[in-house]
Amino acid sequence: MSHLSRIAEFVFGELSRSEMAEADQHLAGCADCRSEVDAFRHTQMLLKTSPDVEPPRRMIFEAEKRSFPWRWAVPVGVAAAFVLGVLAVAPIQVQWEDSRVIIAYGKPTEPVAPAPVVIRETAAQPIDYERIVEAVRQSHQEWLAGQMRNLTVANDRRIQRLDSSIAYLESMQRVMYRDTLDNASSIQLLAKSQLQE
Amino acid sequence: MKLGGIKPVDDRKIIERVLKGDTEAFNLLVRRWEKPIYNFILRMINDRDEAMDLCQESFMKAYRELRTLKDRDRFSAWLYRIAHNTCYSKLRKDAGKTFVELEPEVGEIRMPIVNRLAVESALQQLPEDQREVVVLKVFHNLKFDEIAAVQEAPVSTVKSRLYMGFEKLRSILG
Repeated sequence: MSHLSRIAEFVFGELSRSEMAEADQHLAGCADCRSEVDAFRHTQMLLKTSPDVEPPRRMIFEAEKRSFPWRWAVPVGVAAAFVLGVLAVAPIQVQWEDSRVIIAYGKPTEPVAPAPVVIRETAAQPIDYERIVEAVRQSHQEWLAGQMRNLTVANDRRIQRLDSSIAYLESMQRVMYRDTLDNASSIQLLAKSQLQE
Repeated sequence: MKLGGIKPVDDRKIIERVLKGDTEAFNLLVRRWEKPIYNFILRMINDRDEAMDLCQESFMKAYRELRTLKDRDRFSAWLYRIAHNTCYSKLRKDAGKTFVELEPEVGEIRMPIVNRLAVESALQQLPEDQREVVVLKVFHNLKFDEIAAVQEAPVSTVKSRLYMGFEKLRSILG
């Protein structure tokens, strides 16, 4: 067995069964290689004292949904409210005649009868601006509430991320404190043994 | 061929479902591999938040490019390769920045310090290619030929990187 090139494969179990048997036999009679293997295993053991950690947050994949273009909701809502408001209060008629759409403003004129003239008095119908303004105000408020909800969710995520970082730093602080105490006692022992020499 | 105790046939079945349009099934793969991939990236770049972002980026790339995976039994090796590329993009971007590199203390009193901080610090003192081999071998149980595929390097180069890495770690950790 070539000493240096096969030690890693032996330690990590990547030799075939016959090669492993051959390696075991060699190690039984070669102190140098035994010492190399022990050193290798020792380093591996030290590395494994560092365990895996949990990721700070979970990942979730969602299928793409076709979203409603909410940015158009306010202008469309305002326009619709205005049109409905005008239609509700203004004398506008929409007729379909001979494949044509006829939009007429004002009351349809009635044919003048040759009979006696009837005088009609109609009261003027004012546009209800208050109702239109109220409808616009309401849709704007709903849009604002949606924006606030999105901001809150984003801020919650930021806070969560910060919390997990703080928790990690605190645990590292505790480990360092413990290690400092251990090191201090080791230094004391070493100093003592040197004095005795 | 098992990687970290998970059988490829389990991944294969999930991949087939994802490719048929079951996006939810991809979350099963994420659940299975997010911790190992996150820890691999963390040990490479040593920054928790950055590691989480790069982990997310790796899985997003894997989801987008799943159709290009030729051998569905080697999903995990393919995923490690993606994570490797993601890490190295970040490491190359940081290459111009100045970092304080700690040399191992030689000749002074060294005590075998066995704790997580010491291991993390020791790993960061290795060159990136040696660090990657050590991490994939010790913590993720990848075989030499799998690591060679991740690094796109010959197996002999991977082995020599492992030996050099272990030698340096031995001098640092004791």
